[in-house]
Amino acid sequence: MEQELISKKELLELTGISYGQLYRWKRKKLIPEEWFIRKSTFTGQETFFPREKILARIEKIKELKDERSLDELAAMFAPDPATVVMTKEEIVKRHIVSDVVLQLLNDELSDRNDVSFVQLLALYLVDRLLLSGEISMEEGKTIWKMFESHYPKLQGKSCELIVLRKMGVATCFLAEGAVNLYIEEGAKLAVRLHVPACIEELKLKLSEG
Amino acid sequence: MERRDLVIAGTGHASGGLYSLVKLSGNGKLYGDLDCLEMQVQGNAAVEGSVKANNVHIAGNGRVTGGMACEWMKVSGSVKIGEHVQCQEATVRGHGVVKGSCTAETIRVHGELDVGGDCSAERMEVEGHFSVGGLLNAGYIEVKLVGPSRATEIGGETIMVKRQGGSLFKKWFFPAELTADVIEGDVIHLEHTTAKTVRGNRVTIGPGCHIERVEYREALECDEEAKIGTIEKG
Repeated sequence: MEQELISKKELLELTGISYGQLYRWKRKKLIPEEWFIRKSTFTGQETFFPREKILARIEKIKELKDERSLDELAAMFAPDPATVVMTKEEIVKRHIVSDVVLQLLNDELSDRNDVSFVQLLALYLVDRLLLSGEISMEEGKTIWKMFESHYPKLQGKSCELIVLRKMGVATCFLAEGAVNLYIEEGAKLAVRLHVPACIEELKLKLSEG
Repeated sequence: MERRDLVIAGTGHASGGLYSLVKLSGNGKLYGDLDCLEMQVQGNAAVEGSVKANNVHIAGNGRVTGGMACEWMKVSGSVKIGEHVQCQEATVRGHGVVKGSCTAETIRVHGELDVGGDCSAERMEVEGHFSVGGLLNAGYIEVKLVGPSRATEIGGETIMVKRQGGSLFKKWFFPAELTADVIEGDVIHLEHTTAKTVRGNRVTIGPGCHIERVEYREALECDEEAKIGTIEKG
């Protein structure tokens, strides 16, 4: 995937942070190692970053760094699921997902009252897609089932949730890492969600309490 | 499981496993991964596997083929670790070799440290010489150069490199110089350093430096004896 890159120097000028801060955040794993892309230029080797991702991340760190410690932020940005178990009541009370989704998937959830993080993430994803009108209720159920059975296999690796639709029939799958998609003409890419980004949002939501 | 002590005095070998205190005096060899609370070595020790411990104290010679994870580590003598090191506080008096990467809160070196991969710490103090194969990333880096040192990249908040006096013989054959491709930080003070690029807010280039390119934001001070290619204020 050819993504737009930003040089380290430009990044520091744009965001107004210093070299020290950048290295400190790297040390604390707030910025993932794979975003540091080394390329040869006329001044020797230079470091580049994926432009949109790094700008969004730094904005977020700057916004939150006064309220939270760097370790807390690192835990939030880490792609592995948080160790959170919530009850159904809590989810409703704290408006993490809408009631509609919870009712829709109530049958699918086990009789047990507590919801694991993976389940919560699946709920959150389905909720988000339903609210934005990208999928139907039925498709939501399919996504939920697929996500719950396959996501644990990824073990916290970065992945994308993709929904394709052709002649009104939808199919969904998870793709590990960043992949290029080449889709036939009649089909439509209905949804493409970067799961780690959603995890971040969800963790932020959870920690806001 | 219950943790028991393992003591080898003289020559002996044992298997790895779960222990409380592991004390090797003389010549000891352990086969397999070791998980203990405290490891004490006086003499020669070799571990065929990894080490996980709270405290590690090596006086003499230590060799670990796997990685090392501990809270506190003190080496007087030499130590060689085959994979990564993760540690809170590491003090090396003598010679330390890490084939993988090294992550710690504080690293203190009196003597020599060689890290094959990246090295990151909040605070790193070196009196002697070091080499880092990848990036040396630390909040505060203080180097008192005694011998030739090398790193591909150095980044951090404060980077201080100064030369310590040595014997005439050493000065001739092992010049106390630091070589790096890129050095980036907020406050940088360099002496006897050869680098392609130095970037920082407040940069001081002292005597004996050869820098191809310096980029600074706030202030730049150059010694008369420093050789600098291009200077750019960004």
